[in-house]
Amino acid sequence: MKHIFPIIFVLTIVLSCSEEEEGSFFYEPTVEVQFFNIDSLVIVDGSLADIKDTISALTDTLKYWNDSIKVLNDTISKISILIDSGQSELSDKKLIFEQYLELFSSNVVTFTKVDSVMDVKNASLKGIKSDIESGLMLLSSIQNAQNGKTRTYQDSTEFYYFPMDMNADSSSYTLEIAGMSYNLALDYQRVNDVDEKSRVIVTAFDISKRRHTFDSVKVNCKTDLCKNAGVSIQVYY
Amino acid sequence: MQEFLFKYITKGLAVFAIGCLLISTSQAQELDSLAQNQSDSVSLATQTTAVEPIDSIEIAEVYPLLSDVSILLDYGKLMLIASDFESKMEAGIELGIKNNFFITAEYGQSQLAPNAYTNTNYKVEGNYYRIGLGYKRAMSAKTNMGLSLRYAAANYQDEGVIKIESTSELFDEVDEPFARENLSANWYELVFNSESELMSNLYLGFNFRVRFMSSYDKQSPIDTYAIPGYGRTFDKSVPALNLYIKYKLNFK
Repeated sequence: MKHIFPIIFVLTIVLSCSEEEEGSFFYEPTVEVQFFNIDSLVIVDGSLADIKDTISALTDTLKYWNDSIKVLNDTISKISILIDSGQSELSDKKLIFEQYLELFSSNVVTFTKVDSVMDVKNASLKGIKSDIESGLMLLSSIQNAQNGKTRTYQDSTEFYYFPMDMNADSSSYTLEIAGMSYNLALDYQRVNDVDEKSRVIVTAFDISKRRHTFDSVKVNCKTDLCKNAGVSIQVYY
Repeated sequence: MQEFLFKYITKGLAVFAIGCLLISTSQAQELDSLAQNQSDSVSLATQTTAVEPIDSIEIAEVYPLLSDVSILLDYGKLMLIASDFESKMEAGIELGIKNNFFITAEYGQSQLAPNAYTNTNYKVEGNYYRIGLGYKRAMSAKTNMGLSLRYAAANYQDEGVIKIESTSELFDEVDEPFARENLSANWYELVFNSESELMSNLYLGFNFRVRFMSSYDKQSPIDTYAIPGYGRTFDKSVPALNLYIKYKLNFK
């Protein structure tokens, strides 16, 4: 009991002290951006339609050849019976039918190979179409149009997260996609906020497009305030 | 500022008046009781012819209205001056009323650099006072315990510089100072204290207090993190422990 005060004092000191975090805090508000290559999608859709027609024609042709082979086989069988029954003058015709049979069989093999190639092309184009529809693409670089600072990307992805200027109510970007240059500018408002780790951050809200050089840009807000964390921008080019 | 001072002085006087009223009522009742006893004794003496011999007389100690005056120093806060994150000072005065009651007033100053808003170098500083009434009781020859209710108010200011580096390095960093001045808060405290006499008139003790926030100047979105004398603002009630050394002058 007589040591109670020193113990309380030490506890007070220990509870009051805590390690201070040091070092810079890296952060910036970002907005999710998805790119859809509509021009390529139109071309791919055209190619897929062509391949579909080709495969359909090949299927019809193969059916014709297979039906013909069946008829030829039946005919050759009947002629063989007649020849066995004594009508030896039909031997020449049997030979002609057998030559047709060989030709048709060869055609079936050839067209089946072509059909397989078309199937592979069809699957490949469907994959490309799926990628385009999901937004998977490579954005080569993003540049701050105000100061020229550039960030490059190496891998394709479905979603890009564009950083936003924390000192201004707008951000302007120059974007490079497959060697082509595009512009996009966003307007927004800013507010200071405190995150769950008790750090002060900047949140952007009321986000809208100001100008762009794409085919079209849609800003989708998931919340009434249109805060950056709940915004998805869809870019069509 | 004048309005602020007026508001708190008015509240302080109200608390003080209630305290005085309680004490004077208690004193008046005690005087009435004494007068009644004396009257009864005189009446008894005149009516009784033979008085029984008395073996012993128990004399109750009678304390003056102002039975003692003490000054207190929070030595726990003084020890924290050496740290980088806090600089606090707190002292108080205690007026003993009839030995068992007391009026207390405390004043403190603090500069805090809490580990909050870690990218802002956040600081808050200000002063505060507390006034209150309490009841104390001697638990042994050298140990007292007490319970009191106090009203407290603080004047303070906070400041910081928001620093955020750009992750992408496409944009400039944020370097934005902020400062809020002339902020105020007030709250109530329930305080339990215990003290032991180290040597003649010198006591060592602690206050365990639970502080209940009444109101403060809320800031948005970066709210004041800590209020001098109260503590963290996100708790509506905050427990605290203070260590004090006290010198007491008895008037008996």
